Amino acid sequence: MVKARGVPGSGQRRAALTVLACLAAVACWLGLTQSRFNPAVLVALSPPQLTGSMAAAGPTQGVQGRALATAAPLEALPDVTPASPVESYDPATLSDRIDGKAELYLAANFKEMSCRAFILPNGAHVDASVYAQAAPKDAFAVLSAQRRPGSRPLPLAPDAYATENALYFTRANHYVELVADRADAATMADLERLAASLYAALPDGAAAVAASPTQTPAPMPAAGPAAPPAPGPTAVAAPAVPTVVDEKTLFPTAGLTADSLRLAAADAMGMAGFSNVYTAEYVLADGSATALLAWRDAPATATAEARAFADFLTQNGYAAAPLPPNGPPLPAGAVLLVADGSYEILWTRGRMLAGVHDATSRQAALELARELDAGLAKALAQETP
Amino acid sequence: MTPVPPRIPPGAPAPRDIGAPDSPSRRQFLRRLAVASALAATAGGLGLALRDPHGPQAVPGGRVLTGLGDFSVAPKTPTTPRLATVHGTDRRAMFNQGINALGGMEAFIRRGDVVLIKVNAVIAAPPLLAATTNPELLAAVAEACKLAGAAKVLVTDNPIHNPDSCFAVSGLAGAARQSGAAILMPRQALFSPVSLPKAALLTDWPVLAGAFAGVTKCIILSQVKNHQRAVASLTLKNLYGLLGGRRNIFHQDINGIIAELGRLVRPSLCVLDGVVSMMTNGPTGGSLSDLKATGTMILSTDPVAADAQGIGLLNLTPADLPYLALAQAAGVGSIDATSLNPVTLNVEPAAG
Repeated sequence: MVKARGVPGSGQRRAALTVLACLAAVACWLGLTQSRFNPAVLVALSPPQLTGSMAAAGPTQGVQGRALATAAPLEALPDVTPASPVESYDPATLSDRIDGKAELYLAANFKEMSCRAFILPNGAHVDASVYAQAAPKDAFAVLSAQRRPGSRPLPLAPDAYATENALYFTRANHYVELVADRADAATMADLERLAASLYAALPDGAAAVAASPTQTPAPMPAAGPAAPPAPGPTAVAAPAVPTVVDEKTLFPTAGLTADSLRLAAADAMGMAGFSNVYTAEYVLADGSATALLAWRDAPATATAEARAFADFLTQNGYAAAPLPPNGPPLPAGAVLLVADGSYEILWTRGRMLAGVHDATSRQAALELARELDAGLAKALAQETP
Repeated sequence: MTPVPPRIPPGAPAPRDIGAPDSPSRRQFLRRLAVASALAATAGGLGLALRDPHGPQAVPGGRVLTGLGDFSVAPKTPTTPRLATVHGTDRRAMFNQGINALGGMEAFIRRGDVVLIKVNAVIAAPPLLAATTNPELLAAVAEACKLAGAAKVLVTDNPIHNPDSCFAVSGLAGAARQSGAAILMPRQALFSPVSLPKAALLTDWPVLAGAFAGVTKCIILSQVKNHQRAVASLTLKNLYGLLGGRRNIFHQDINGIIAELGRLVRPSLCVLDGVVSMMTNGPTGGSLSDLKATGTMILSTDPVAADAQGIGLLNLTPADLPYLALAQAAGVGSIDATSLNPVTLNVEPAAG
């Protein structure tokens, strides 16, 4: 049986509403107060970790006493004299070492880094830094994002290069910087020897490669020192193994600008969320252009991202234009976008998002699209769905 | 038939209205309301009495500062230039010419002044890499302060690397020593909490305030650098080095914090060194190929104007630095240098 309830009087109703209003006001005040950003409180809630922990805690003791793998290769390098203990940093402390540049590494799945100063045989001072990213492509992303134009390629590793006073390379998921305080031939010779020792001391990533999906056979760009070794054609995966494509190997070689191959780990072309996009710059007979490739986990994802990027370009002043009938035989869905003197073509082929970015002429855009897609069609013919 | 009222035993409560068997009487309601109100008022009053609006002091017995001081100097005359752009390669000569155009060092430094020079010693990198304030510039400025009658010249920064290494490797320690200035290392005792009025970020934050004790003039010496997060590191970004604690938390709102830093201290003079600029891979750089000879030094009393001029050395415009507009809106300075009577000088005669 439902028990009948009394109807409150107007006075009671007013009093109840007043109390509720007071409670609501208190709740609002609490919410407002809590929402105010007080960095001091945030810091107090997560006390600073000891940064740059020194070797005093042990030869490979790093952040908070953990042994960091990147410290070990810096412990016993031949022909150089350590000038400082090994210091190690993790994602929470990286900016204590490299300040605002930390964001670049963090966006590319940074894991840890260790560094140490050395004195070369000729007396030059060298800072050696070993960064561990999550995967080889992440290491390539940080290297390529900082690649100095006009630098000298080195035979040490596929991506290795030297400037007047510094040397950079990757090995597996490691990115290494060796920066000297001098720029002379003797210093650079010593630096190359140090680099070779350090390269040998780093793990080659064979275990990780063995455990990772097999790569498709693909042609190597002949031009450009940045080109990595091509995987052999026998590296085709068993049909049941999902295929991963190495985008770096799929760019056409004609007109490719040396050292221009890059991997944008995040926010490629200025579009938030557009990640892991390879780009390469070209100088062609009809103008310059940038080719882009991004391998996605499913064709639908590639299509959606191509559409999102086209929308982004449209919001930034580009307008769709028809592809000429005598243009390259691109897959259905390919779009041409045009803005003042700038041409973009986007399409997908299976899980690959491909495009030509910021071409200076329609002819250059179409020419590069033709070359890029022809290579893709050939290389991806063996793709396992 | 007349209804018969129910029989009520003596002392029993009066029957309630039909349909509201549990409703209290008016008297009961008022009594309950009074009790509830009294309890609420007591709880609220107790909370108010126990509330500490200032929170715990970061330093026992210390006090929260609202800034580091206003060290600005009024120009000699309304027409005296307050911004000089000097082209050349010799930093000492460029500084001397620039400061003369602003009325001479005596216009900024009086006899007996205690001068604090804030340099950029962010990392332990040699001067060759142009990641830190150039030691030649520091020496020229410190010596000019001494010549103008400064009683003491102090040099400080709170680098991200070991401070001893940073000042030594950058050559700043040697330059200070040679010019009679003293390096003030950022030891813990020099940090005090600062809460800028109406600040969104700089509240209760440890700042290198102890370095300003007894200081009467403040000069900022900055290096022109590309900056991965802030686009450019110039004068205002250099003030980041006054922050203590886990300051990288501010990278989430880099423009907001740089604009607030402009309110933290009003310098007497800003010198922006773009003789060699770090064009890429900043703020740490590392390779000589990151650098470009841009042959320019900017001196100004206005940090916003100095940065607005200096950003051009990186082939960018003031619009590329959102913090400049924020700082201008906060009254730190002016992007448009017209009102500063700017002058442009050439130290070395043009070739040919």
